[in-house]
Amino acid sequence: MNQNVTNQMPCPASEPDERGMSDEALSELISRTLERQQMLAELQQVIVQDVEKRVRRQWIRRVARVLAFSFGLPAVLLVVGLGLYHYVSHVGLTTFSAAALLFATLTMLYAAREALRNFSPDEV
Amino acid sequence: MTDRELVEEILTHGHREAFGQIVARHTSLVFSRAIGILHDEAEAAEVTQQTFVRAYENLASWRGENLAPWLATIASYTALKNIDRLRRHRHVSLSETPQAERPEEPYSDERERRLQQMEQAIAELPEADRKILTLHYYEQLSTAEVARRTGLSQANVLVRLHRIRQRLKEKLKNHESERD
Repeated sequence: MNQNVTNQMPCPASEPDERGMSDEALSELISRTLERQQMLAELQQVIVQDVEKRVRRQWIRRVARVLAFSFGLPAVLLVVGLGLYHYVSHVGLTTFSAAALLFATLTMLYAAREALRNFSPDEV
Repeated sequence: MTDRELVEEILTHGHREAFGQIVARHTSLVFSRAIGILHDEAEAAEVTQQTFVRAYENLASWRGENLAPWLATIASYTALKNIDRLRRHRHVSLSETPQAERPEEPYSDERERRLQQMEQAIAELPEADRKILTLHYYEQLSTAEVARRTGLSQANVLVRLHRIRQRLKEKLKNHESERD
């Protein structure tokens, strides 16, 4: 890749020096190092963009979780409560419907209590 | 700013641009560690990216003053995991994995070490010299074109290139003697 550059170099000699590095080898090493630096500079940009993207995604997930917690839980309670109300008003208050009502209410209260107890601002 | 201060900036103030500084500071080290294990540039670049993402996600758990050893550990772990993944996916032996993808410029520790020494030597050059070097060796411009771009005479460019090469050779020699 560096053929033309090497040919233009001001040092005509290409004999290895005492460390065994010829002018061609030095030119090649310089070119390779600069290519590596350029590649790493581009890689740095990609990494920073990738991290930014992940941070944005994480923020969206947090907002979604807060919304689900704030509105989702009451919405579920409301829907189940309304469902039970309709069921009881339609069927009437029998032993079975009363037991179902009690069971559903206790389950909901337990689920809500667990959700509140496990809530952690750090995890949101 | 030290690594610790940069991390504090990110964790307490949410300044994510500080992470860009961390990346710029340690990419070379992480890449070098990765290529030392994988012997493949593309895979090493991938591992470098994964390393920094993992580091960012676990910044809060980091304790210390210098991020380099921590990042190097993550890079080594990630590189070894990638080797394992490559072996499982391609059903080839560990020694075959890097060779299969790299038809030219075989990796060697010696070559990698020289590249790092040269990188350091170039970084120590004055900005103007680095520019001449980049134009000539990276962009592959002729000395006449470099002269036109930099506003110097062609003779001056030739002399400066000669001096820069001598300086780089000298620095490499010094690095080598320090190492011995």
